Amino acid sequence: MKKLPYDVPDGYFDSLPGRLVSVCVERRVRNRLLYVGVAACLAIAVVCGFLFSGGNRAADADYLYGDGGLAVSGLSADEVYEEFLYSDLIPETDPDLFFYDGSAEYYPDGTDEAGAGNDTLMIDDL
Amino acid sequence: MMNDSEIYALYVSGDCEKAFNEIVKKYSERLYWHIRSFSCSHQDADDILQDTFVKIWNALPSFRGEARLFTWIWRIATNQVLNHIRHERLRNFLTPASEARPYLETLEADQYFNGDDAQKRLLSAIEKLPPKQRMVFVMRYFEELEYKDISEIMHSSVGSLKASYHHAYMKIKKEISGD
Repeated sequence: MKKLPYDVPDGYFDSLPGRLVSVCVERRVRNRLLYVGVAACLAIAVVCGFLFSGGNRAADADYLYGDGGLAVSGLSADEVYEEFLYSDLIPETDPDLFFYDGSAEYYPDGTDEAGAGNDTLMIDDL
Repeated sequence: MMNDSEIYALYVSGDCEKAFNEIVKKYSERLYWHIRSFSCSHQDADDILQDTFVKIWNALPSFRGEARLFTWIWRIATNQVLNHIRHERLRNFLTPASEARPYLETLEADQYFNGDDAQKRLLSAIEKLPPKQRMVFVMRYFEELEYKDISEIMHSSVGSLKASYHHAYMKIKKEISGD
């Protein structure tokens, strides 16, 4: 290797290995503390999220269920939410698929093959 | 001092810290000069060296022994240097022209520089090269590494490195002669 036109401080190379090892150990400890700190912050954020979403949920239920709300009489707040969950699951393009499986024949006009219409499952029956 | 295969065997046996200590003992000085070739201040070189060893320590579990330890370490150091060069260029770009210091001025202000005018001109010409040509030139000219080793470090073909070295050489020659 050719000599570069630079000097180094006195004793630099004598102390270099020890210093490098201690820097690496120090940074490893610092990184671990950082990870623990980030994990703690995330945990706090999740707990706060639960607490605050509880408050919002009560307010939403009041909006849906209270005076002048959506007037879903006879349903508790949880039941109102369940209704919304079901509505999310019903496919927009073919909603009948959600209510009828292959075990029962379905005739959209409300009649069966014989025209009686008695055995046909209707949405209101569910 | 242990050789690379002994250090790797030590690492594989589970004694990671001892293996790392051996790497530091064996390579710290040589790696300092490798980094110093690209940096015009001792402080910068020292910072890059520290970052390089932290990277080596963190990346050691992913080292599978497929490459040689020496080229693997040089690759990490070279990437650190390239990052530093990019940051420097960005900082210079963002610094108002009145505050930006020319390379020669920075070199002369460095208390650890002990070169003559010819060396100043050479280092200044090297500093103006594109990063790849600069890397190849420094590793070949100052560190006297084989093209095969540089090829492993830079993941580039020997032919391409030879071409880069030739271009770098011509540019430096032109810069020094003032054509």
